[in-house]
Amino acid sequence: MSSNQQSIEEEFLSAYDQYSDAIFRHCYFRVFDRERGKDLMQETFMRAWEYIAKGEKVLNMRAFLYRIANNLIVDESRKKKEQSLEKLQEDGFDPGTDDSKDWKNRIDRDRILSKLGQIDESYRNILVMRFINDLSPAEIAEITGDSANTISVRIYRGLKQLRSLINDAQAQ
Amino acid sequence: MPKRNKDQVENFADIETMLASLKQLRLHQNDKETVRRAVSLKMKDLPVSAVRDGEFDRLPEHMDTLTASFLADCQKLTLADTERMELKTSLLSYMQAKPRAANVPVISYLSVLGTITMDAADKAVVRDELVAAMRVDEPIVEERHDQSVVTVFASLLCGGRNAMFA
Repeated sequence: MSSNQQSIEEEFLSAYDQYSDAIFRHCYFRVFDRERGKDLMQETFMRAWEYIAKGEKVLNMRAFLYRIANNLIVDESRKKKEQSLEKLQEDGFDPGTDDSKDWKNRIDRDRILSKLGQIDESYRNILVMRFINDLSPAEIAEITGDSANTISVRIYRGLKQLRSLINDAQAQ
Repeated sequence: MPKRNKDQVENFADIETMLASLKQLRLHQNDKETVRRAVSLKMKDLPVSAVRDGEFDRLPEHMDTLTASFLADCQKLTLADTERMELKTSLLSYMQAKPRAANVPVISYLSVLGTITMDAADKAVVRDELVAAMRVDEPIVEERHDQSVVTVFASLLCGGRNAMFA
């Protein structure tokens, strides 16, 4: 194996180690299904490699992976409607880590999860990238092809919609 | 972006904290490893160097008949995954060491090597022959080269059992 190829492969596997959880979360909070989230994450990396194997350069691997994941999710949503949030809650939210002692986190998580599936998908997509996967508005803009200002406005509106839903639930 | 007052910022901070609690969602370690293995296999089946720079993507017409016949026989061989990768890499190195005209048939060989397998006994023969081939550095005119490359690789791949172009 040439040193160049080895270097490209190592970089790609390093990107997998670094971003696989984030891409999985990104997919999961769009389809609300752990297995489909995992499949979409795997397919994202497969497609990324196919592109790289053609000799194409990827300047920003993280943005590139998110773009592929977004396209796959759009394709997925055309084929099949999202699972309902009720179905997710019946199945139980499985974080993949044991935080059973962290009650505050669990309460926060359950509250936000029950509302996240109810906001507009365009807002949910942005909020997941911004606050769950820690991307900056500029990075999100690069992924979606929008301006950073547009992303900031969507973040604001998404948060506002979420707050409204949470407040409504608390008032009931 | 609309301006936010202090209260809204504080409320959003709470929501941001709740959203951040969802960071705990992770792949199970065994799932992560399973997918990593699948991705690694994909990388082995589709090595980036095979088509790097688009250099090996054309085959001259006069090679078609000979190559088709050669490739058809290649399909009968068997080669383990790791051996296939080694052979691909060696073939590529060999072709890269040659002038542009000598690179011509490699993409077909590489693509067919992705589908064939070769038994273990042929492995040493292939490696030795490739090393020898890589040491041949005299200029080769294209027509002679076409014949010689096909002959060399037919012989390599068939491991002496079926040297159809020898």
